[in-house]
Amino acid sequence: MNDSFGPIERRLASRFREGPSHAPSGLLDAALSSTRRTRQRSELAALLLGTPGAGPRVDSGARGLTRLQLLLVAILAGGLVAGILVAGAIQLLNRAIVIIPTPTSTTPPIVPSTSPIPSSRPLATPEPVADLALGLVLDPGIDAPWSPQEALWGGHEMGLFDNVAQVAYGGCPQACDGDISISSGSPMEGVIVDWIPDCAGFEPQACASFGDPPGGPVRLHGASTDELAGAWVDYFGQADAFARSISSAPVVVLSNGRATGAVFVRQGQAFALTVHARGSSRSDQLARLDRVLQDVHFSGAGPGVYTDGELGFVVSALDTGRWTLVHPGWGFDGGDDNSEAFWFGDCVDNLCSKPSISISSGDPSTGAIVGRDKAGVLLRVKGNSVSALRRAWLALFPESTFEELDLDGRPAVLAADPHAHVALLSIVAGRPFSISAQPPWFGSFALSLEEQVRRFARQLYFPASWPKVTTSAPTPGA
Amino acid sequence: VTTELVERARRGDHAAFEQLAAASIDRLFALASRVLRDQAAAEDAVQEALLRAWRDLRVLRDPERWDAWLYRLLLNACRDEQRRRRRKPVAVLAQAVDRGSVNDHVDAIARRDELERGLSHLTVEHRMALAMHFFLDMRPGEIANLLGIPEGTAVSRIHYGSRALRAAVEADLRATATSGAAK
Repeated sequence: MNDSFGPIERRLASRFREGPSHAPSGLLDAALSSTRRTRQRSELAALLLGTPGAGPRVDSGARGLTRLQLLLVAILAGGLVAGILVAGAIQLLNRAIVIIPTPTSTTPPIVPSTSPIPSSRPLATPEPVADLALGLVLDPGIDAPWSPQEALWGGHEMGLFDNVAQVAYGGCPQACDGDISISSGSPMEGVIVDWIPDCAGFEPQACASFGDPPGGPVRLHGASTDELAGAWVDYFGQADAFARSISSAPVVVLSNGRATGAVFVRQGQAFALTVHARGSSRSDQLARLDRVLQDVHFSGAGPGVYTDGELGFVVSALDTGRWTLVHPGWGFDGGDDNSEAFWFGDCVDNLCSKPSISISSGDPSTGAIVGRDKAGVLLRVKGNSVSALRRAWLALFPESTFEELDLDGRPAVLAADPHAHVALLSIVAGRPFSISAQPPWFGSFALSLEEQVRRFARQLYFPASWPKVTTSAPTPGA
Repeated sequence: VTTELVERARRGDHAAFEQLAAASIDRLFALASRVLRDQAAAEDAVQEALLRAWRDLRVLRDPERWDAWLYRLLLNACRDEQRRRRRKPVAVLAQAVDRGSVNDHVDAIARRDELERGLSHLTVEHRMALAMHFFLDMRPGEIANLLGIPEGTAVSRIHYGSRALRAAVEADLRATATSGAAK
């Protein structure tokens, strides 16, 4: 440490020393994998297109240009200026044509009409894939099975990942000894910590003990951990408070005779874990909550929580998008209830200019979902080994190539169809598992499908350790 | 050796670039983590910086300036990453789960929050200067040289940044003194 530092500077230095000093495993591979696919720009191209971060180096590059190169630059610049002038003149002469720039769309220019544009599909707001994140992951082994409660707890008809608070339960869904729930939501929507049965429902006895109708979820609102803790005490009553932390994020644990809970805020999203007393002792509740807290892990963060009954993963998206839960038995497919998939964004019908990305797991006999055909039927890969999944993928996409990966110690393959349908396939917790991406029906997007799948694979967290994605050279499909 | 590797990488030798990247990635990630205060964002920034380094390596005429150039690319990537995420509050560093004892006090949380709030009010440039000064132990002259800014600007960024964090650190020091006296 610098000897000239005073006490304040020394403390600051010690604060800055907290944190990682090594890059996560897999980051170098991921970075080099993208550079391998990128061609170096020529000096001239770099100069013309801009060289981010080069600063004064750009100037030194300019000094090294030949006369021919400078002439080319001048011609190109002149052409650009002329183009702008001509375009401006056309605009002045013909004001009836309005071109709305849509960076991700190749559709024809939009001609204004009197019909309103649907507000749910803003034309000029492409979804930046870079903002996607996989969020909070719980180990299913400690409190299996976890179950989402989207219908009962105020979620969207089609999906768990709406803008409302989300909740997942460990153990029994309602009113059993020591049931535990985890919920997340925006500060406005709040987090769900309890459920009051509707007095008009079929549990009048429970209803009488909770007060007046109507029943429904009990939400706590707060933009900070302290505010959430205050709201918790307002609802559950005075409690003992303890400090905990998850990934350095402060967590307040509160406990009284009625319930034990943990509240925290991550990237603006409120989270609450709640263990209801229901006959269990406070020490049991605290021990249970602590076990769950130890298995909460962040990779980025987001508003959604979801845990598959056996696999135990949670997906979430930041505020640029959302995940929609697709039950295979619902609407799109007459299938079974043994596999589930999450689709990013609004493109459940796949008829918009956004890539379709899904994460799925299923029974070996029914398979993980890897996409949807043009008729809307879900495509699956079945099997209980990676080679079986690979064969199933080849049956769907015969021209594919495969790259062998290691996904947190599990064998996996990155399957790529030349027509741009990509998926990572593996077996997790004995079940087929997939992260898949397929292109939009029209339009383009920032990252390649392969990059997106790799990105998710890198960010996915399996209990106990981070996945380490290592790559090998692509091999022929068959 | 680095100079030779840079020369080879400039000529399109990816293996040479891999050696350069492997030698730099820990340092870049540690720095980006402290600037962005979010592991996922730091990973993205490092990847982006390395991608830009490879893509535009041919404009780097002086191989001796490789480190300085890489720092600037990282700074720009951090700035872009911050811009992408600016609607969201700055996240704390992601580390392994650490359980506090039952006797932990909520004040510690408040103090940590205060430091994070202080950092969140600083620009990426200020945070980069602070991280280089307090984490990499660089003097203002070195920082200025690497970032291509006047030394006075580097001094100013460190001074302004330290002042913004002073309240949080003073509260921390007071708490340490109080707990020391109690024992």
